[in-house]
Amino acid sequence: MKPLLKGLLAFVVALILGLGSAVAVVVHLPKNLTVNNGPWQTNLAVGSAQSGMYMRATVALAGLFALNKSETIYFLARTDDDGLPLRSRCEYIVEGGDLNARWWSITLYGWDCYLIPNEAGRHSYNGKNIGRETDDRFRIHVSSASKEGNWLPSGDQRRMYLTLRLYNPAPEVYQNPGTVALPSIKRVRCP
Amino acid sequence: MKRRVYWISAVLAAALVIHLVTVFALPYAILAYAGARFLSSSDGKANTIFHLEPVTAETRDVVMLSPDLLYSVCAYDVSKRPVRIVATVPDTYWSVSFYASNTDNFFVANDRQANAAPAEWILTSKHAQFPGWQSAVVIIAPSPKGVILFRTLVTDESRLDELIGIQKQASCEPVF
Repeated sequence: MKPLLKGLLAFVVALILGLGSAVAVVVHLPKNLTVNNGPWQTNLAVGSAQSGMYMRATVALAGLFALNKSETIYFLARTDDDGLPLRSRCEYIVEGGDLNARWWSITLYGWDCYLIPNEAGRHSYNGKNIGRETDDRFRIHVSSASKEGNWLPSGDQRRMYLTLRLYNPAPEVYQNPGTVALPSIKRVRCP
Repeated sequence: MKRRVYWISAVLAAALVIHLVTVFALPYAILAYAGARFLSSSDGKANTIFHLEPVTAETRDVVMLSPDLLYSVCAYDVSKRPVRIVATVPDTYWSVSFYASNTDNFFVANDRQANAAPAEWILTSKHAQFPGWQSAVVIIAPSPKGVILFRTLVTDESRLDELIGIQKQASCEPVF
């Protein structure tokens, strides 16, 4: 094989390996989100200058314009409590108590990190507009079929994400992000 | 055999360089792309504020926007002149956050921290005095270009028009 052709082939192989591995590492979010709390994951370096190169690239791709931890902590759930991926054909109940922050919200996103279209125009609940049970706890149904009470329509996405935002969190949240009480995500049924 | 080892080493070394450059450059490319999109929404002018419509499932400007917030954006360029940011702070959660060209959030202030009415900041590329604006907080930008994002919380739909009105009082303009 001629040296020029050999060199070109070597470059193409290097390009595929280099780009492929970069995309794989950046897209593979859980590896870069280092704190686990049940199904929720976070990284306190999100949005800050302390972000490593990989974390910064991951956040730029999947959560551009994230704020630093003193302003907001973002928890992301890609799975239910049993570690199974969140799917729109399944039905879930997100249950918890008020979270220790100035205000909080839970938002459902599709696989592409955009809001899921639905007739109800419902994409999130926050500490002010969520309906609470008599025990002051909240339960949110996540399903494609309409539900009474708090309901986040999951449309016809293959995969989906829940994002929990804690704005101006109490210090105990960013001191103990792995143990602070967060909502559970229970799968009710999955046809 | 030696030649084969040489080629494999060369390919792996080149792949490593491409990998590192791609990961490093990605945030810059994404922010530049987002900035360019916002610039096209503000007639191509940097240092001009642009107010996004309330976020819905049709909104495709940026991933993971919160439907509970109203957003305004200013793609800044302080390479030639500083930028002055003025905002009326509402009685709900509100923040202004500054992002460098690598997406780092290098400064943020919320409604509880912005005491002046209206609140005022000057973003500049180097230390300087701004005698005309003593009340303004001076911020040094780590990169000449980046993005400023304003967030306003809407917890009560009946206040949406009122909060949009307050949101639109914010400005982002070059100084001098």
